[in-house]
Amino acid sequence: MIELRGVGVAFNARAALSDISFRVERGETLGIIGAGGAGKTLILKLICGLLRPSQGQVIFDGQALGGLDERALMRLRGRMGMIFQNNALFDFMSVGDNIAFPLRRLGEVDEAALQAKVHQRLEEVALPRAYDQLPQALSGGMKKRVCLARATIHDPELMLCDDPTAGLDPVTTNRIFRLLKATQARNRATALIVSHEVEDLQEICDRLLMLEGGRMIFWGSVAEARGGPEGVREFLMGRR
Amino acid sequence: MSGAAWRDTRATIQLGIDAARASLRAPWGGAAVYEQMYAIGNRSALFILITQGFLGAILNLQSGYQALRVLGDASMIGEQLLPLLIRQLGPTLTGLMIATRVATGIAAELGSMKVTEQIDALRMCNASPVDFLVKPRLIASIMMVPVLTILGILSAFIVGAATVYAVFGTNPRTYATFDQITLLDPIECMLKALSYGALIPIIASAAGLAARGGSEGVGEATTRAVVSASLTVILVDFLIGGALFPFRI
Repeated sequence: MIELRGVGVAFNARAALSDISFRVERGETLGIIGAGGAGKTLILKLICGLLRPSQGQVIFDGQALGGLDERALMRLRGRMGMIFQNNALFDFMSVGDNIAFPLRRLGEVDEAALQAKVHQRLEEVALPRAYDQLPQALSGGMKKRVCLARATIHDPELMLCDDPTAGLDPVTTNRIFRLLKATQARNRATALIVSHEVEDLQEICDRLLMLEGGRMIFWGSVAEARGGPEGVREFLMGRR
Repeated sequence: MSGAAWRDTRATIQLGIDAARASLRAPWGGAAVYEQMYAIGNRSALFILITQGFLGAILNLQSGYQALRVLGDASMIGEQLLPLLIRQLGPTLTGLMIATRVATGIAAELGSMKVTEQIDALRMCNASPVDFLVKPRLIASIMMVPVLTILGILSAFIVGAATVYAVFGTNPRTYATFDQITLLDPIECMLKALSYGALIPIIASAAGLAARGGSEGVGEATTRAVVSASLTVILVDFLIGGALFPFRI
């Protein structure tokens, strides 16, 4: 489904990511961990083509993204959904319009069907009365749930989640992860989750990728990570 | 020109090309364009009327004193100033006012969207920022800046006539002498207004879309937008004025 081959990213001749290679199959969940500034978000942005690699190849469903123009990339992004670290809700639109936006852009013309789907998704994320509210009026946890609803309204094949629980309390964090997992299971979607909640990640992920200073220092199953190199084990136990 | 400045210039030119292409393609985004026409046009109208009105008063007052001192007669102020107002001061000062009011607004709005990842979110939702954000602003600005320019000229003309009448006793009918105005004057006026209308939103959008970091980055983008837009207005004024000059002699 997703493959990175020797991918590197440099800004002003300074390497931010170097020699990243891994593969994720359809339906799998990959957790990406590492200290702040290790390049976790860059990997998500490379996969959806928001960022172009300085070297190497990103392959989505057998198609190399490198040769695609922005229009082709936009078509491909219609098969992906992304939860942003800062939510990135459109502050000039109501919650309902935010959630409906991807469907409208993907050509959904049946307004009744679209509205029904938006209301259903709002029910699922436990925000049934938020349709007409503006994002600014919501709490951090509510914004995250709206962001999740927007990212998954079009049933994407690939979910990219950039720190979906950043700044949330443990109860809301748990709720977001359960929602994520349920949405993923319903669509048999592939998910890449960047998070600092290493305990939750170990529960919901099939594999883990750990980055340090833009380099990949571990790639493997959760069980392998638990018995893996000392640096990885310590990170998983929150000691590093 | 430094490397960064050259990169910014290239990015602005590329955005201009992309936005121009997008503007020739349907759909033209009716509601978004009307919204921007309101933001750029209606919300700037009072500002333009007031600034151009004061400008008309000051210009006529200063010219009148000079005319009285040198010629002993202030009755020809209108005849001499109106062509200058139409081809030069009207469009260019309106352009500068739009550069301060509209360019800052566009750069701040798009800059905030950039640093809060809303631009990336748009791209993830199959929406091109050029089509969705820049195109409506470009179309609205091209339509509204000429209208604002005409309003500004009328304001400067009316206030100027009133000032000259009040201070020097020149009859408004005498003031409104259009003999010195040639066909080239309104042509030059509209050429400039249309150019500013096209360039200001592009420069401001490019600055906003290039914003990085947090609120500091948005502030820098806004400053860059207003400085670049103002410089461009002056440069375009010079270029169009210079290009039409041979037709005047």
